[in-house]
Amino acid sequence: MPGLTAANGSVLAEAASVCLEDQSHHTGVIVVVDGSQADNLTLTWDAVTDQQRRTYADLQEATEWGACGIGIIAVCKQTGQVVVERSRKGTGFDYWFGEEDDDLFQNKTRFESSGILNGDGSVIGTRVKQKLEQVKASSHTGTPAYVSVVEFSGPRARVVIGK
Amino acid sequence: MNHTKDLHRAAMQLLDDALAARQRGDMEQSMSLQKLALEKERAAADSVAGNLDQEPTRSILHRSAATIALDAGEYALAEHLICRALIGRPTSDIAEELRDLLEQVYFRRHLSLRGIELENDEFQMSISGTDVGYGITRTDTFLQRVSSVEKLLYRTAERKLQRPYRSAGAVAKKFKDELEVYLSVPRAASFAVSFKLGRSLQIQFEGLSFAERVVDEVLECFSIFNSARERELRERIPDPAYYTNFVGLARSIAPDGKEIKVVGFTSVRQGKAQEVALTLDQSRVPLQMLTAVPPTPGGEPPRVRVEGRLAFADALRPDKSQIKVSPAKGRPVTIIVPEGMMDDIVRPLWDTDVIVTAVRDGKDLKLVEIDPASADSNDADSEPI
Repeated sequence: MPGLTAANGSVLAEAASVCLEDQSHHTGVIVVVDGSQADNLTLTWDAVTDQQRRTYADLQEATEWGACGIGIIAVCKQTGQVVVERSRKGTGFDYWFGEEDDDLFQNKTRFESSGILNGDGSVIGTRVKQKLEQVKASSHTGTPAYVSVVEFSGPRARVVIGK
Repeated sequence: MNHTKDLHRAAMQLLDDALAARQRGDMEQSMSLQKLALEKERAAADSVAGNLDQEPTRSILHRSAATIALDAGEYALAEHLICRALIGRPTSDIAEELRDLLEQVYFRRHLSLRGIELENDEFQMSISGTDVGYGITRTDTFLQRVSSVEKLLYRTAERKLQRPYRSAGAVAKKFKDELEVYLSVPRAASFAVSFKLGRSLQIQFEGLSFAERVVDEVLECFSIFNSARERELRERIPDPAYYTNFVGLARSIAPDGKEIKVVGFTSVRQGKAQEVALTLDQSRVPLQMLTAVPPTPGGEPPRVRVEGRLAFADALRPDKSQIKVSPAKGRPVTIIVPEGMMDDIVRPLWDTDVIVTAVRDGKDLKLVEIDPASADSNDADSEPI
């Protein structure tokens, strides 16, 4: 993907595997996706090493990064689009889906991701609501968005394809 | 545009390299790569600064460069980039993010002591968010956090002295005399105040001041809590009652994500300021972190959420303290309160409307978190019991 280097993709994948193992899941686990489209994602990874566990000891950060990685896979699968750009935001990056062209961030779809290490359906619902509220303003001004919330204890994900 | 794109992509690649260096533990290399990334991203933002119609590109590049500048400690540059972005025509969501980022820049500035000299047995607490103006804040927002910090200081001191968890009663007078907590006059920063612990002549730790040890312990535990490093926190506070009490109080001090965005602490060690910024929203603290004992793998118990008036608190049986919450409709719900929560976390909410999250344990419901019900919480219906 033009907007997702191998290095950045590895970080998101490793963070996701640390969070999944923290929640006692093993390679081959199925993430149940609901929202705009029901789907299942099968995730496989190499067993997490102690070094990786130490690297991603900040589980708050790892949860956000790992959720972002899983959300990107879910959106790619549902829309057929890829990440074309990213920019620095918060403790990580924000990502943009669309076609690669010369127009940096123009006519691209914003990807809004959030992660929950361990929470129930109501927590997921509240988080999706918050994210949709956050992007609602931009939809009026022409910036569409995909919203993804991943919960690791299930594991499950809700992906809402906006405008 | 190709030139801008090249600069931006080079900046993103450098940030990847900086993160890789950080993960290897090479902080010097990481910071040096981050500075290079800042130069590239700033140049990308500069290249579109004059074209106000080039949105969202213009504002996104400015926000990205400002975020890198904030990470690199270049606060003046971050402020300049954010303001320049806001002068343009950012979409409303990005404008909101730029304002949030500006708050963080100002908060970082306020974390610095700005002429205030702290002793080793003192630390500063600052809060920022929409409830906080320059030198002014809502009383409940502020006083509740001051009260929680004071409780946490005494609990930490008792824990460090290996005293059993005090389930009932006030701090012993003799102990309080030894380690009195003082509060400075609030000052205009975001909104800041200093805590000072009295110097104990009786209690010494290997020649170190006990107050200094307590301050260090509280701030280090805040840092672990903020990163949601649950296992590390449980290892550090192995007594379940002290653990539950710490996470409950830390959660009550943490930002609510709406009115308060950041709560910061600054202490001074060997002449250098040490800062801990609590940024983990109360609603984002993982529930497994809040339970007294670690959940068994794959065996997450069902959760129940109840909203109603906290009408009854019975702490007569230390092994089974309980509360009753009366919803607007239906029968009161009885909930068991784990040791460590009743005195400092539940009791202050007595006779108010609360939102409770509990887990089912056999026939019992066990309290996990309790918050005051806000006026806008009408979507928080109680779930069937």
